[in-house]
Amino acid sequence: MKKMFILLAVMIAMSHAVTAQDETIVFTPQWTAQAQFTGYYVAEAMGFYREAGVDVRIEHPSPTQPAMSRLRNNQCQATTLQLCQAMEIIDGGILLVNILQTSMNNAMVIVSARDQDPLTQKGARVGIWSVGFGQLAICMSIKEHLDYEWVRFAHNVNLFVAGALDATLAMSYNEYYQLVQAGIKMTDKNVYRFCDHGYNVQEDGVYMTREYYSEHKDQARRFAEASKRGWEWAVEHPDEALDIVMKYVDMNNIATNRVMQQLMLQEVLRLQVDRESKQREFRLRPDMVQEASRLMVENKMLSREVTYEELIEN
Amino acid sequence: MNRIIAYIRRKLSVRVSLRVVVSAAILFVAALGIMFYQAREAVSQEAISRATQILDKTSLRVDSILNRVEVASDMTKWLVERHTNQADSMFVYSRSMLENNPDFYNCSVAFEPYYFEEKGRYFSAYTKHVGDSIRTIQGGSDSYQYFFADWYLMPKLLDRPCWTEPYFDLDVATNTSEMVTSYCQTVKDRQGRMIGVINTSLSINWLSKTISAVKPYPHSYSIMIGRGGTYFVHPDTTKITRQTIFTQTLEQPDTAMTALGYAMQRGEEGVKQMYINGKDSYVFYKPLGRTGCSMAIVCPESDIFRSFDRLQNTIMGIVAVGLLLMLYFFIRIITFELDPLRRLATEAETIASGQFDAELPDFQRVDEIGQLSHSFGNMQQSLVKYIDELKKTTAQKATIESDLRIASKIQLGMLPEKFPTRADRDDVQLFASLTPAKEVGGDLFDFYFRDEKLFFCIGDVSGKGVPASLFMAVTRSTFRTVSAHESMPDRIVTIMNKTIADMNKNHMFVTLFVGVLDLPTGRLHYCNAGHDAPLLIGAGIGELPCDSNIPVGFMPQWKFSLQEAQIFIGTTIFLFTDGLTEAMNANKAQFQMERVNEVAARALDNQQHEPRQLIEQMTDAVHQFVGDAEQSDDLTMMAIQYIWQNNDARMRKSITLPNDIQEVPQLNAFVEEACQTVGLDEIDTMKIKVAVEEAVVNVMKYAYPSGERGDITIEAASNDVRLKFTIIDSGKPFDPTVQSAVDTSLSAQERKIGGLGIHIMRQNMDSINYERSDNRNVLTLRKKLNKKN
Amino acid sequence: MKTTIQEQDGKMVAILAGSLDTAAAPETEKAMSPLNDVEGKDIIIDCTELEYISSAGLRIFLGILQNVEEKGGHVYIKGINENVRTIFTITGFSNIFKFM
Repeated sequence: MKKMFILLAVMIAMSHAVTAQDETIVFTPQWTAQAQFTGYYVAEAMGFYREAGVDVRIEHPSPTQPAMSRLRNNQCQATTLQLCQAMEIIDGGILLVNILQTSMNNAMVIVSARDQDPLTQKGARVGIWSVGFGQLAICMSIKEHLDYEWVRFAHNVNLFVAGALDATLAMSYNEYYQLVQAGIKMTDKNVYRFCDHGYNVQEDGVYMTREYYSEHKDQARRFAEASKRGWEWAVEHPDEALDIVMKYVDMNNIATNRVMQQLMLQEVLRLQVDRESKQREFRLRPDMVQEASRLMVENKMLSREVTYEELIEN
Repeated sequence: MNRIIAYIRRKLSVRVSLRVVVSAAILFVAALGIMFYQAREAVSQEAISRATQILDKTSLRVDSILNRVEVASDMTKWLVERHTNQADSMFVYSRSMLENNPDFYNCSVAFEPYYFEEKGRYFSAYTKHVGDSIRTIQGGSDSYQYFFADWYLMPKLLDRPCWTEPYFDLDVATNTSEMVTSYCQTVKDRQGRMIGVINTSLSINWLSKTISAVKPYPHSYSIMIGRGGTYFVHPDTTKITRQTIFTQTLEQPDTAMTALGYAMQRGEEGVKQMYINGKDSYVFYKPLGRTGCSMAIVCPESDIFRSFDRLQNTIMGIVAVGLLLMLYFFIRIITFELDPLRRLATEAETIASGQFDAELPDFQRVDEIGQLSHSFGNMQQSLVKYIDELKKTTAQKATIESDLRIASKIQLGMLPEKFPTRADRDDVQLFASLTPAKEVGGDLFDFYFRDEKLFFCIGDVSGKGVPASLFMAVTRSTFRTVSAHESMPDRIVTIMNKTIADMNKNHMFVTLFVGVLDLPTGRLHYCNAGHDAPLLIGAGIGELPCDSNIPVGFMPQWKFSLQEAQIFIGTTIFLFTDGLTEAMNANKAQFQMERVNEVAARALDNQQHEPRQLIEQMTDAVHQFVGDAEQSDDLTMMAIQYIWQNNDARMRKSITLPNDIQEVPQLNAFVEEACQTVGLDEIDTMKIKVAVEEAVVNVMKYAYPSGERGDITIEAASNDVRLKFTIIDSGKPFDPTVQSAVDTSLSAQERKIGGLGIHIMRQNMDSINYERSDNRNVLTLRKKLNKKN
Repeated sequence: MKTTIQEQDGKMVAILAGSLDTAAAPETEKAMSPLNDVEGKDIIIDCTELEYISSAGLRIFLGILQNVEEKGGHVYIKGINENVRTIFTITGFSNIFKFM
């Protein structure tokens, strides 16, 4: 049955390869090369995109050309975004389509520098990404009347270590481990995980502009399927997947290391498993979309509710 | 191995040398151990001070440059704060900073968003070297929002000047990057509000190179980490900026490395000993000025202690070789010194084999060996002398032993050798044995028959050996002498005691049991002088009750008591000396009376209590008990069984006469008739008639005082073997048998009228026996009958 | 017991007949007492008829012998039978008396 499915998929891919030959999809991940994007690197390196009959090129953002600006300028056709980011962008008037949802859980945490429960640090200076993640944190701080003084940063580790911050936001697969590597001790007390406190909103997904998507639906689906296959392969072959990641890391001269990327891959894959179904669902959950929208509208981050239907393919 | 140990045991020289050398080795090892330990400490201290010096020097150099940066930055800040409203002059300040300090990397004076409204959101006066020239531009853009950068945020948030963590400064124009660290401080307006930041950067390539070059030992290397533990200097360049000091500990926990990381992060200075990359290493670390960085020099111990270890091995080698040489020389020297001893041992062996005249080597030495040789010579002489004496003594002893053997034969010869059995006698049978502990002993026994009486004695002289044997001989001959004319044991013992005591100068004594068994009646008279009570074995087993008389030989005046008992037919009297009850086995246990009784009881049960059987069984029991142990005392046993068979079947008649000699003819007629009844011839009849008449007349004359009336009963009885006359009267005690015999060889003039009667009685009859019982005198005369009768 | 004393050829002859036992001894001694008074004559004791003699009889014989020999005379015993002679032999009297 499975064999037949693959055969069928290949036949379909070949039949479309001719028509979509000239259309290259440039995919720009949100951040520099790291294990957060393993599935796409795997799909490219293992030829899954080619097999799917879709021409994909991965181009990372640069300081002068962040992912979103590349999408807007049509320099790339697909990018990864966090759900909250996507909703903000849609609210801002650019229509997006989620063609693949990878994250099923929220990865954001608050780490206290004072070995305190972040919920007790009223009025604390808390680091937040200058590039606009952390909407949920702001919602939470308002709801909990924490009165945080938000400090927008480019990098938080050095500030945190130097004692310039009382606490900082971090992604459990990235900054969290950077802090650990810098010798910060993590305890149950000084780490606040949003997912455990009613803020379990999905994050990374692959988005295209609805404009582009409407013209390249088939390509987009094949791209999404091949990407999904890349992720699933990574689950089955974590070591080989990590090797592929490190190739991209070295190619882009990223100041990180294999240990860090291994931890990140493990955590990212973990976040892909739905808490309730225990499955990699690769889909947006309407309830999470609704909850995120509600929170952001409530805190005036959205001017209106952005619905599930607005996000998905149709 | 065993052979080696055996060899060492045999060789004194090897053993002594080994001990000395082992002791020396222990001392050396201890001394060297202390020395090596201290030397190692010294080397370690040396290494520490060397590393510390390097660290201090580097730190100082860094400090001096940092100081210049800080002073220059302060100057600029002073200028900027005086002209906070003139945006363009910021370019001048920024530029002059680099102009005045060509070794600085760049300088920017950056302001808060929209501080100069005409300049827009971003305003930063940025100056940088480009080749040989200096370029000043307006920095900051949407793609470079400097106010989110570390260098801008850090002084702002901390509200004090500070050095940033090193970072790669990317020059977009040339796409080159340089590792820099920046000194940043805030700029404030007159109201004290923070309006911007002055950032002065310094390339730390020179610093990296300086630190990398620090190499106090061939395999040592240096590292530098930032506040976050990130490596900025490391021999493995792939780690630089990519890994922190903690990265590896996430994979493999390493508490030492973690502790080092924390110590360096905290800006501490010190040294740690730890295991890095498979090597024991010393890590010397020290913070680098105010940069928040810390440098460390990692020195493998093998490097630090290389020359020390080489020296140590050399010394150990020399000591080992020295000890082996010492062992060799010691063995040689001691062997040489002990050589005389070996020769002495050989000579001693010769002497030991019996050649007492062997010549001893003369060593001409005065030390211990000389003394030993001298003593040995003396010993040899003494030995020769002693052996001579021994030979003489042995010869003398042989003579004495020979004498003793002869004495032993003589002594045993004194004792009766022929014991009457049932075949010999119809009234009693007897057996005895005497086993001396030494050649001659102090035990004695004796017996003989007189008339119809068995006289017997058993005795034990105090002490052993020759003195006891002499005393025994005296006792035995005294017994014979006294009992020849005394029939009562108390009298016999009393007289013997007086006789012996008179001539006893050595205070010896003898325990003695003397018994006289009247064979016709079974009446036993006895006197026990301190001897073991005999056993009676017959209807049962019991001790003969004995008065407690003293032994014979030391109280001449003692009057010994007489006892009497009836011995029934078949009863055996068992007499013994304490050599039986006190016979000892190897465990010093004694045979004891219980065992004597057991053996006797067994013998009685088996009806084997005839004298010879009884003594043989007793002897066997003693041998079995004693086993191989040496006999401790003389052992003497005597058994007497009364077997009287009173079957006067042929004839029995009697006559009673008054004590009148006129009745003699009736007597003679009675006797003649009796004799004729058993068929005696005339001569024998005549002899018997005379004998009986003498006996009866004696009674008439002596038993009854003159004028007193009394009857005399004469019984005649006969069986197949003898004719017996028993003369019974109830007059005063009178024993004719103790009258001394007449000398029939005397001339007529010398002959006495009296004494003939007893003589005739003895001559004419086969036996005469007197017995006083139940206040009557009983005299028995026996005549054997020939077969033809 | 019968004792007869007669002189015959200058010698005193005592003829003893019967049993000279202890009971008969006093009487016989009395009858033979004349022999003690004889001076210088030999005495012959004729024992041909003597059937028996006890020590009491022998004492009489010894008394006579000792008395006669003091006076220088001799005592001869005559005709003694074997039975009586045995008693003489046993007692050693055969050594001191002369037999004819």
